[in-house]
Amino acid sequence: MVELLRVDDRLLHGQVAYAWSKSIPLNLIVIANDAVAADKARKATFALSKPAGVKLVISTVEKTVAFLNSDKAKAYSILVLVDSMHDARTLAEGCADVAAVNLGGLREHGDSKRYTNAVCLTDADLDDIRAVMDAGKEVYAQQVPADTKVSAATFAR
Amino acid sequence: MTIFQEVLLGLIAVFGWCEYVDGINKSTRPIVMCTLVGLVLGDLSQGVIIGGTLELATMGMMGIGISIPINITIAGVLGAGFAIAGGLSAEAAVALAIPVGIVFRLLEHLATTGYDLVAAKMLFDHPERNTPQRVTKAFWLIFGLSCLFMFLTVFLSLLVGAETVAAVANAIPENIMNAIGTGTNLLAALGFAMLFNLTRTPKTMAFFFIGFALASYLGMPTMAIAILGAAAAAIAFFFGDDRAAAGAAEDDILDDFDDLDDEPAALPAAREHLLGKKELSAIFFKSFGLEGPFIYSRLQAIGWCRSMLPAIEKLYDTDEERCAAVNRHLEFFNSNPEFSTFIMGISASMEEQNAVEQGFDTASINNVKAGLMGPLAGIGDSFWWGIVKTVASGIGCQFAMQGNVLGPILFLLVFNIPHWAIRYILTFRGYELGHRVLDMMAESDIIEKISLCAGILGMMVIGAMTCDMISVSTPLVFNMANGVTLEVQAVLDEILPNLLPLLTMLGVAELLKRKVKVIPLIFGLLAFGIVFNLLGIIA
Repeated sequence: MVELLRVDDRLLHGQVAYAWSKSIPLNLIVIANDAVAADKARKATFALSKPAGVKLVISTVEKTVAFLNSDKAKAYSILVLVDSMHDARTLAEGCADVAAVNLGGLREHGDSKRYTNAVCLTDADLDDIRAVMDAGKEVYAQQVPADTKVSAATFAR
Repeated sequence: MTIFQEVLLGLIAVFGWCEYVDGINKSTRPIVMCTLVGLVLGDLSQGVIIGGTLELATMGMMGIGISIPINITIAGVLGAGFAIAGGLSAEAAVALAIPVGIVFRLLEHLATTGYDLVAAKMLFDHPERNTPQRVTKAFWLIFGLSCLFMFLTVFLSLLVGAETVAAVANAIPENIMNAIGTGTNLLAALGFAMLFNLTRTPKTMAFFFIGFALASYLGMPTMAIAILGAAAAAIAFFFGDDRAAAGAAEDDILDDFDDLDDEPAALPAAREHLLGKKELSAIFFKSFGLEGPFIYSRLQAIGWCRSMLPAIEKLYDTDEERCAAVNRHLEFFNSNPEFSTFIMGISASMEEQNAVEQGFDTASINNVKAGLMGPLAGIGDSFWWGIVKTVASGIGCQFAMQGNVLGPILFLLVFNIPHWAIRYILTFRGYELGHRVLDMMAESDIIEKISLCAGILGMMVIGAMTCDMISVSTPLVFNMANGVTLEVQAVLDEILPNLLPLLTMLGVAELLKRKVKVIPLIFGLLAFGIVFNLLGIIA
C-alpha cells in the first residue's frame, strides 16, 4: 500500500531517507524513473542513501504502475519517489491506491515560478496538479513531516 | 551525658550517614554533625564552633574511590560529643576527633568487607535469581547494616568514654593501620578486574595498554586519556572498514519488482520515547542512593543498579529480561555521584533501544558506562569537591566560627541547591543525548561498530584507572655486601612504572576468568595485603 507518493527532483536523498522513514513506517522505497532505471551509476548512488532495513527498487514508471496495482504491493508499506509532476500524474491516474501527491522539492525548471520555498512549478505542472485534484485526489506541498501541509488548491486554482 | 543523649548522638551519626540515600549531600560533614550534637547536649553555639573548626581542619581530606583517610561522620559526632561533655576547647575537639576518625575508618574498612559478603550472598553468587525486588532488598539491607555500624560505634564509644577511646586510638600501632590500608587498596583491583574482563575483546586489548602507558609514563590525567580514547574511537568509527555493512545493504537494492519477496519484513518499530518524565524523575531520586550500599568489589554498583530499576521495570516485562538487565547494571561502577545521573540517562536510553531493537549489543551499554565514569569522576570530583564544597565551606564556616547556626544551614544550601538542580537536569540531558545518538545510529547497520568504539574508549580509561586508582608498591631494600643498597621499587620503576598495580589487576582478572569466587578473592586480597605489608614486602 502506498504510504506516500512524493515528487522530488532529487528523488532519494538524506531528507527523504531520514525524516520521512522516521515518521512513516516503511519497508519499501520505489524510485519510479525511466532515466534512472537505465543508468547504473545513478542507481549506485541512490543505493548509498537508502535507510537500513528498507528494500529499494528502482524501476520505470510503467512497471511501477503495474506493481502498485498488484497484490504483492498490498503487503508492503511503500514510499514512491518521482522527479516530476508529470510522472506523479501518471501514477496517480494509473493506481487507485495512490490517494495523494506530496510536492516535496522541485527546483527552478523551464519557465517555472516559485510557489513555496521548495516548490517551483511550470504551467504544465499546474495542469497536471489540477488533473490529479479533479480526480478527487489530494495534492499538497510539504518538505518534511515537521512542516505544515500547504494544499495545492491555494496556488493551482 | 545521659543514656538518652548517647542514643540521640548515635542517631545524629545515622542521620548524617543518610546523605548517601536522601540527597542532602554533605550532611555528614562536621559543620552539620557537630551543630546537631551541640543542640542535643545543650550547647548549640559551642557545637557550631567545633563544627566550623573541624570542617576547616578536614577540608582537604576528600574521598576518591575508596581512599578516604577518615570517617568524618564519626569524627564529628564523637569529637564534638566528647569535647562538649568534657568542657574542652574547639581545638582540643579537633585533636581528639581526627585520630578517632582514622581508627573508625579502619574499622569501617572491615565492616565494608562484611557488606561485600552480604552482597555476594544476595546478588552475586546466584545472578540468575536476581530481580528488581532483590536489588532493592539488598540495597536497604546493606545500607541498614552500615547505619547500624554508625550507630553502634558512636553509641558504644560514648558508653566507654573519651579517655578509653582516645587511648585505644593511640595504642593501635601504626604499622597495623598501614597494613589494613594496603589490604583494602588491593581490593580496588578486584573491581577493575571485573570491569576489565567484561570490556575486553581481542580488538580492544591494545587500548588498555595504551591507556595504562599514558597514565603511567606520562602521568596524564584520566580526563586527557578519555579524550584520546574518544578520538581513537572516532577514528575507528569513521575510517573503519565499511565493506561488511555495504555488502549487507546490497541485497536490499533490487532492479525489478519480481525480485521482491511476497512477504515483506516486519516494519521497523517506530522509535518512541518509552521512558518519560515519571521514570526519569524516579531515576533522579533513586540516584541519591548511589553510594548507599558501598562495597569494595563493585563500589557503587548496587546503588547504580537500584537507580536504573525504574527504567528496567518500565522497559522489560519478563523475569528473564529483567534479570539480565539487573545483572548488566550490577557490574562495577564508580563515578562522581553528583554527575552520575548523566550516565544514568544515557544508559536508560540504551536500555530503551535494547528493549525495542532485536540483536542490540548489550555489551555496548557497559562499555559506554566504563568509558564515561572515569572522565566524569575526574571532572565531577574536582568541580563538586574542589569548587562547590569549598565555597560552601567558606561561607558556612565564616558564620559557624562565630557560633551562628546560619553556618551549617548556608553550608548545606550553597552545596545542595546547585547539586539538586544540576543532578536533575543531567538525568534528562543524558537520556535525550543517548536517544538522539542512538536514533542516528539506527540509520545504518553499525551497532557492532558502536560497541567496538565504546570498547576502545572504555579500555583506555580502564587502563588509566588501573594505574591511578590501585596503589601497591614495595619498600623492599637489599643491602649488598659492598655497601650498595638496592631499592626494589626503583628497579621495578625502571622496567615499568606502576608494574605492581598492573600485575595485581591482571592477576585478579585471570583468577576471575578461572572462576575463582569473589568472596575468597576478597579475603585473599585483604589477607595478602595485610601479611605482605607486615612482612615489609609491599606498601
